[in-house]
Amino acid sequence: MSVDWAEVYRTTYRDVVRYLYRKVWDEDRAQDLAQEVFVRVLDDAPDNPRAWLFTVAANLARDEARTVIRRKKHLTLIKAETEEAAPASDPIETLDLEAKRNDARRALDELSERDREVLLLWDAGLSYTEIAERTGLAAGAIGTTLSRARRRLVEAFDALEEKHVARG
Amino acid sequence: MSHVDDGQLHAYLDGAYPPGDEQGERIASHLGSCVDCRVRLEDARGLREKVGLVMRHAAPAALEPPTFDAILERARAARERGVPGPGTSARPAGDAHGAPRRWRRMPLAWAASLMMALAAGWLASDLFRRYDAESARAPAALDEAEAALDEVRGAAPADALRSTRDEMTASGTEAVDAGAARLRSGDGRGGVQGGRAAGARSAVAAPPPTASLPATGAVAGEPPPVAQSAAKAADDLQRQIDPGVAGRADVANLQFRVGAAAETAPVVPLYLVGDSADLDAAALDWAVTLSENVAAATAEDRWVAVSDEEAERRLGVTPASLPNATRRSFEIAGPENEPILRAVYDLADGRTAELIQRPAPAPTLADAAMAFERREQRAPERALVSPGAPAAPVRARLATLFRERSAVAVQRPRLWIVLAAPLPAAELAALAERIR
Repeated sequence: MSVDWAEVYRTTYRDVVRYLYRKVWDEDRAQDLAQEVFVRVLDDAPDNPRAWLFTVAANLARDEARTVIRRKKHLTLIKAETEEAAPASDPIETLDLEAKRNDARRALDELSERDREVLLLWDAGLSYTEIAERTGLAAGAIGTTLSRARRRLVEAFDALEEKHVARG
Repeated sequence: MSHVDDGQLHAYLDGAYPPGDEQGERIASHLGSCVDCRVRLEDARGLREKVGLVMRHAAPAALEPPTFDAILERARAARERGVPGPGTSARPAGDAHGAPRRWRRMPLAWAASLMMALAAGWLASDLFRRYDAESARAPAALDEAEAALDEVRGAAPADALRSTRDEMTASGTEAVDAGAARLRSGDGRGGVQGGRAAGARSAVAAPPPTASLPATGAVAGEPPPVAQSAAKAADDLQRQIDPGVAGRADVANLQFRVGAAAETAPVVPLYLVGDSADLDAAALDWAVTLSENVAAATAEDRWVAVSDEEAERRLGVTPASLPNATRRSFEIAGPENEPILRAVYDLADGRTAELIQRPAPAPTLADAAMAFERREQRAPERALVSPGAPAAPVRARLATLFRERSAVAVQRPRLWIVLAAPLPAAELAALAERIR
């Protein structure tokens, strides 16, 4: 079975970037990795191209994470603080957005690996069946995992926001 | 059957049960008869929406993908350099941990996964690859659009969501529709395009008027009372945000986002959405109030045709107009000091657009200071999930309004504007830009 990768690329590229961004927390790196994902799958003909993309993406992100941990953890963290801010015309807006982004990131980081992965895959547009196939979880467990992940993410995010409010 | 558990509820919500699926049918049947579980379903929906909100905070900026040819070129270059390229994706994910590559068909996938988590970290389960092709979910653009809708709708408590949705549908939308059907013809002249440059002071975004914000209830033309402390706060604020004052006004001037089903629906609602959550919530309050006032005025048939001059006098500012469109009617309603102006325009293809305007209090630095303080005090995101918070039903109502009527809210100095027209998002956005 051949795969129309051009079409898959057209419909899925952004999802892959978003997914990778939440693993590497660097927009340029996420895009670079996403393109690498498509480069690597060109000769593959999986049954489900979309889901296969995310497997390859997860592998690349994991390799990336190891490299980062070994070599440039400190640098990456600094970059996350200073360079990821969306361009906004207003310093207060920018601060707000940055705070929210950091909170969202920290909230995601507080999840277990499994909960986070299922959440990211769902957000990337994979179906329950696809998520089950990719993670090895039973199909019947996806809903349970996702409901827990959602609840914990919101709790963690709200707790962080609460702290900001308390600090004034 | 017994109640639906959370996992089943979320799976049902997420459309994980294909039509005819036995489990799915059972859940649907139970939901049909169990109020508690229906409420829980709505709660789960609210939770999912809130998650969408959080996830969007953790998303990269919008981006243009390179062409697919560029990918092919990169693959070719990689081949020539002999570095990993096409075909190398099947590298086992767990190799570094020495984990076996194919555990996928283990009878108890969760057990395998648990063992993996203990032995090699959960990510190692990446090696369970290959899939049965299943129906793909809606395209990403649809998800994004729906998420935008979700943001406006907020995670309203189930009951509030239901009741306000009905209420809004009944009062706002129908009344406005009814009003549009009873249009009197106006004087036919095109409105004067408001081009008054706002001074630096009035360019500060004012919080929209809402009942809960006394300082912003001032009538246009009357500056709101400026308390000493507020003035001091304003000066402090000015020092803090000086470089950003003008920029902030820009943000406030036009904040909209494409709403539901951008790719598929012929008519796409736009929502008033701000990056500043506080401004956003307040502006939503305003827009709902405005639409309710319009509905009330329409119900009482209090609209009277006015001339441009009279409209400008009542509004206290030159009304906005829709360029390159023929104005069919121009009417005003409301008490002398709280006028609402409604103009209906014929668009090129027989459709009509409705422009509703009302004066906004003259923005002052004190207003800006108060808006700033409110933002510090409030946690608008939390308000979305707090049953007692007023923001959630307000958002739900506005979401309903804007879902059923393609509309965008525009803010100009001293003027609040809602533009409603049965147009695709891009066209509506373009119109809104011109109004601005």
